[in-house]
Amino acid sequence: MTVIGEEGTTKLLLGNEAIARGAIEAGAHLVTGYPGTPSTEVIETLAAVAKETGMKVQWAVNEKVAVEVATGVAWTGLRAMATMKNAGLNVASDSVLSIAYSGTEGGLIFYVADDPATHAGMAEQDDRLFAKFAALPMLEPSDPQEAKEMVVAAFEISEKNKVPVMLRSTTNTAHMFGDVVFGPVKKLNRTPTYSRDIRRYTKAGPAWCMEQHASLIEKTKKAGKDADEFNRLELTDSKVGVITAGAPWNLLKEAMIRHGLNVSTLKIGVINPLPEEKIRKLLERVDSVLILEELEPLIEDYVLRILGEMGKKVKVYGKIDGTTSPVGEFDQAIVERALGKVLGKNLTPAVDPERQKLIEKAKSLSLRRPITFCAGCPHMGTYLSMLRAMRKLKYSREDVIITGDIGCTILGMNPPFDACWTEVAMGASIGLGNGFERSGIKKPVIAAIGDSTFYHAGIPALIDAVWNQTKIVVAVMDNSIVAMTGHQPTPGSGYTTTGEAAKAVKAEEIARGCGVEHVVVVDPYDVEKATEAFVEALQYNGPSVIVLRRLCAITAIRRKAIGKPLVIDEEKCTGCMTCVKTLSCSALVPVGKKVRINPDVCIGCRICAAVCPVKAIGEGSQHE
Amino acid sequence: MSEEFNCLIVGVGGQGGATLTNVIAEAATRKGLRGRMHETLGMAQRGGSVQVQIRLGSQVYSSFIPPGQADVLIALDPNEALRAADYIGKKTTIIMNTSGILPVSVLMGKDKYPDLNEEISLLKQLGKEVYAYDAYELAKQAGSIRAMSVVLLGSLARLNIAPLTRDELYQAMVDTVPKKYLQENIAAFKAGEKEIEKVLGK
Repeated sequence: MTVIGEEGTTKLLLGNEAIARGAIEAGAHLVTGYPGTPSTEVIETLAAVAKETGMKVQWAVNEKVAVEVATGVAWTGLRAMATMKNAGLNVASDSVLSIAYSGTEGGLIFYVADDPATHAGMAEQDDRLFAKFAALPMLEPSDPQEAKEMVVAAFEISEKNKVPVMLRSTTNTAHMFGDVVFGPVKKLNRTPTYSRDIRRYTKAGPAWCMEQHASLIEKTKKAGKDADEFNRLELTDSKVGVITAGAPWNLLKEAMIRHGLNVSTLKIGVINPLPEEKIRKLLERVDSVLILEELEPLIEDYVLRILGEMGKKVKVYGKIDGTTSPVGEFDQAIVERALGKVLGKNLTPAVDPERQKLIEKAKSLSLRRPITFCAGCPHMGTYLSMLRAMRKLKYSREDVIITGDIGCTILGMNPPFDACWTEVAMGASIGLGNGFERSGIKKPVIAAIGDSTFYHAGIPALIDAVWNQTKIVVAVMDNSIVAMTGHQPTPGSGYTTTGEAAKAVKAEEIARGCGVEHVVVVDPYDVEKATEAFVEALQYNGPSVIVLRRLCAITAIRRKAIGKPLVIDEEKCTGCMTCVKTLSCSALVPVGKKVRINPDVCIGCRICAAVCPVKAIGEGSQHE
Repeated sequence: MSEEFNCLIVGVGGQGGATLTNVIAEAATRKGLRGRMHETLGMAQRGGSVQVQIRLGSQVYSSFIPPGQADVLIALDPNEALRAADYIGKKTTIIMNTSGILPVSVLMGKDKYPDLNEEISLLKQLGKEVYAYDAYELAKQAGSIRAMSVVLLGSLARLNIAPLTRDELYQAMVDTVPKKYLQENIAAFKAGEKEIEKVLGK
């Protein structure tokens, strides 16, 4: 949904769209980041309206670069924001910690979207702890309206206290639609200025570093006070209190309405520094307190500390006593159970065992849908060729280690290919592969990595392979797009985030530049040539790079750059199901004892034609 | 919380769940209804399970529908309806497309797709009413299988169980779908309405 509109307009926005609107209202000069669920929509939303707003909106090559670019802008006195998913903050963390010491001039926000319950894979890391670790102020909204308000406030607070502010959400808030009332849009028209001040902007010597550290601690304290309006304390005469933050606040509020509860509540919006005064006020009032927070017991630990200082006995319900789990996200049932425990009441709806049996039966009948490659996905051609090359060289599946990486390429770990052995982090397929080779294990190693992942964090590991003379095959599966997160451009796409033409950075040129001597570029739709490329590379004594270049099928469909659907000659088809079992392409549909191609789904990639043992698959005209 | 309306949409990526969501959200926004909504898209661009939770009402805060509290379950795929059983309660009306998309395990011959008759009988025991028909076939007759989800929308509108009238949903659909696909979507919407009329005998 567009985030352009007059002040006072109400729109149903996604949490991330509301954050984008907040950046517009605050007059941000630049927003950058790296795609990662559930953070991606902020930049997508801003990119769609960049022409109208005049904002610079750019995907960065990785999160570390994004943070650095945003900071450079902010140090000239303009406003900037960098966006990333939880794992992205790990990549950026080196720069974030250092930048924190220097602070900022213009408003600077680092937005991180965490993912309890790992809807998008990866770790359930709780980045609220990161704010503490980096000593940076952190705000966390509960809904889209508050997310927008926090962005506007965070820019002000960051600027006033000269400190970057972290904004944290979780999947539930980032991907929740809610009503958002538009505020006024600031036109800042600032001129960038920057003066040399090495005492502030370098880390030369312990005295300056410690001075910067002490100043950071003070700034963060003040920033917390300035954001205190986001900590909402509602005291009642109840002896029970609940402290919560983020998405669980919505569940608490609903449970209170549903069951007519009258407990005291503190809804925390400032995660770092935690609002000591308001926490004390609530604790003074109650005999027992429930801490409703997802993942780590961050607030709970703090509450226990405050209680220790107060010398007051209050029963604390949270993670430590097992009232809630540090794993997964909360839902109504979890919150009602926890509230029931504190209140000594049963708030959980009665379960009819007969009915529950039926529900369990229904769920047991439903089949899993492991995500697979799209019809026409070039990665099918890559994995098919890789496995064929292994067979040609008489390797079994167990003989070759295939390290996987982040993005659509990792779907090669699933049936029917069952190819990848590992998935660690962006770019890790190559570094890990180097390690396997250097262990001396008698197995060749293939690193399977996407183009954007290669640019993001794969290049240093490739240089490491060259430098240390590692025999490894690196398959750069170049579909020229960040496919998994929704088709954002990469440095190799040839255009910018907002659609202007740009120089395409080519993986083969990088590989040669890094010193790799065996570099080939093939089309993964050409299974024969791609197989040959893997055969050669597996026999090459040194690091080799195969760039498998073919546009992502979904992007190709959107650009109408696809072939005609193929057809299966019913007379020739023996019903052996080799095509279905080898590729599981969604265009191949078993009908009776034979296979048909669904013309609505097939884009004519011809990979299945290379698989069919009786050559029954081809263009329609040949067969009709 | 009688004024609360919980609508759960389940299906497979690429089936048009997003269109349905946009139409209902647009209709609700126009009417000034307060709401919360949530999409679970997983990692899948295509082929994975997709779930959308739409909640309307002045007392709604979370975007999660509580177990057993769906007023309507719109299932674009029968297998996905089964997966959503936790949300079905005695008040749930189920509108379901019976033509399923086969998961990889079925394509590879390792699993059998759930038996439709067994499923419908189960859903009837769990929910209030079940309206199940081949919406792909109706969409094809209407002009394109792309409009499959709009067939189910037509049924929702005709059943008159949402806090949005038939005309409000219809108009939001007309204004939301791409102009070049408008005719097939209008035909699909009407086909969905007709399907309900057949059952209700009107």
